[in-house]
Amino acid sequence: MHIMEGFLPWQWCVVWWIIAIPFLFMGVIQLRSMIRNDRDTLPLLGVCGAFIFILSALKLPSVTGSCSHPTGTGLSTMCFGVCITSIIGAIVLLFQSLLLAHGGLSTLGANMVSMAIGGPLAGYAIYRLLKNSSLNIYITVFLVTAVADLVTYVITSFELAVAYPSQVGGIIASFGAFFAIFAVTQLPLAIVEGCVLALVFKYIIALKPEILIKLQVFSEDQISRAQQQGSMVTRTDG
Amino acid sequence: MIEINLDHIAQQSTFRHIHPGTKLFLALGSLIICLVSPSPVVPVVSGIVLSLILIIPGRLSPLHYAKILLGPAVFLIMSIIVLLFMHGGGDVIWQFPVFWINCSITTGAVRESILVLCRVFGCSVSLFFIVLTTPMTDLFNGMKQAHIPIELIDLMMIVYRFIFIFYSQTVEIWQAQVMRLGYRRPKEAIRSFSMLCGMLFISSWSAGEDLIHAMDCRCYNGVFPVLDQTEPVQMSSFIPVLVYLTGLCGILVLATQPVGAIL
Repeated sequence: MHIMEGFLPWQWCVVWWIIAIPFLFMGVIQLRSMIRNDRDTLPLLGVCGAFIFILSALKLPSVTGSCSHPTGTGLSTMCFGVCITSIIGAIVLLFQSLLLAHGGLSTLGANMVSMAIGGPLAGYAIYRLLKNSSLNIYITVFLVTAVADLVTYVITSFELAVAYPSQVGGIIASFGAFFAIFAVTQLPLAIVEGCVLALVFKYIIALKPEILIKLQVFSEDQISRAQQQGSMVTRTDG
Repeated sequence: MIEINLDHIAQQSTFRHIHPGTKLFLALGSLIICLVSPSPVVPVVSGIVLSLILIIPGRLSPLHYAKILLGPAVFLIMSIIVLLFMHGGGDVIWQFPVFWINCSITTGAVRESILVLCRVFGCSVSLFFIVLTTPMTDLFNGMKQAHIPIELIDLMMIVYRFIFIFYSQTVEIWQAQVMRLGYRRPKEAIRSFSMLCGMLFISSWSAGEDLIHAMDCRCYNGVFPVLDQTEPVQMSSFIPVLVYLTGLCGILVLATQPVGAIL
C-alpha cells in the first residue's frame, strides 16, 4: 500500500524527496563499486529487482479476508544490504507507479522513505542482531521480514500524520488514526509475509543453498544445520 | 497479479511518436501545477482536459481508462474518511459520539477533503498521461539525456525486461497450483504461495546467471548500448502544450485571487 499521486501537499513531497536522495546517492556509489569489483552483479541485481516487483504485485492471502501484497524488501535487505535495497526499492516503486498505477511520482520520495529505506533499515538492524546468534535462521528470516513490513507501514502512517495533523491531538492523534486503519490488514499481513519468506528460505536452502552462501546471507554452518533440521522434519513427517 | 499492463497501452497510443520530452513537459508541468494549487478548480480542469485528450484523439477505451482510474480509489476513500474526521475549522455539520470520543465533521474538513480529492484526481491523470502515451523504452532514453547514472538506467532496463518473463512464469505456476486446489484453505494458500515465491527466486537467479553468460558471448563490458530512435521535438506538438500549460497557470493565478480582486 503506497501513498498515491497527489495525496501529500507539495511541501511534504519535497521534504521526503530530500530525505530519500542521499540514500539513493549512497546506493549508486555502492552499486558502482560492486559493478567495478564484479561485473556479474548488475544482471543478478536486475533479476532480483524483477523478482521483488513480481512479489509485490502478487496478492497475498490475508487472515482478515482482504487481499494485500508483500513488500519483498526483507529478502533484498538480507541479500544485498540497505543501500542497494534502497536502489532496488526505488526502481520497483517507480515501475509500480508507471506500470500498475500504484503510488506516484510526487509521492515517490515518501514511498521510498517508508518502503525502500525505513523498512529495510529496521529489518537490517534485526538481521545484524540475530545473524550470528544461535537462533534458528527461519525465525531470523521471519522477524526481519515482519519487522521490515511493519516499520514500512508505521512510517507511511507517520508521513500521512505529519501532512494531515488532527485538529484535536495533533500529529499523535492523526498517526493513531491512520495506523489503526492500516493495522486491520497490515498486522496480519506482516505475520503472513514473515511466514511466507521463512518458507521461501526453506525451499531455497533445500534446492539451491549456494545462492545464500554466495551472497553471505548466512554462514555455511548455519545453512547445513538448517538443512539437517529440514531433513529431520521430512523424515518425521514421512 | 498484474491485471492491466499500462505499457502495452502506451505502445499502441496515437501519441506514441511524439517526442517524449514534449509529453513529459505536458504531464509533469500539469502535475506540478495541480500539486501546488490551493484551489480544487485547477486539478479538476487539468484532469478533465487530459482525460479528454487521452480518450478522444488518443483513442483509449473509456472502459479501460475508468478501470485504471478506479485502481487507487479504495486507498483514497479510506484516507478521505480519516481526513474528514481529523480536520477542523468552520461550523460543525455532523456530530456523533463513539464510546468516549466525540466525532464531528466540520465545513473546514469538508473543504480540505474536497481539495485533496481533486488534487489526487488531477495529479493521477497527469501521471496516467505519461504512462499511457510514453513506453518505458522512450523514458529510458529520456533518462539518459537527463544524465541519470548509466548503471541505474541499465539496472532499470534489466528489471523491466525480466518483469514480463517472470510474470508469465508466475501465472503458469499460479494456475497449476489453483487447478490442484492449492489455495483452497488458508494454510494451503500460504504453503503454495511460499512454494511459488521460492521457485520464482531460484529461477530468477538462474535467469540472471544465463543472462551473464549470454552477455559475455556478446562482449559485455558493463554498459548496455541501446539504439535511440526518438524523433526530434516538433513545434506542431510543442506549441499547443505550451499554450495549455500557460492557460493552466492563468487559471491557477485566477483561482488563488479573492473573488473581489478578479471583479
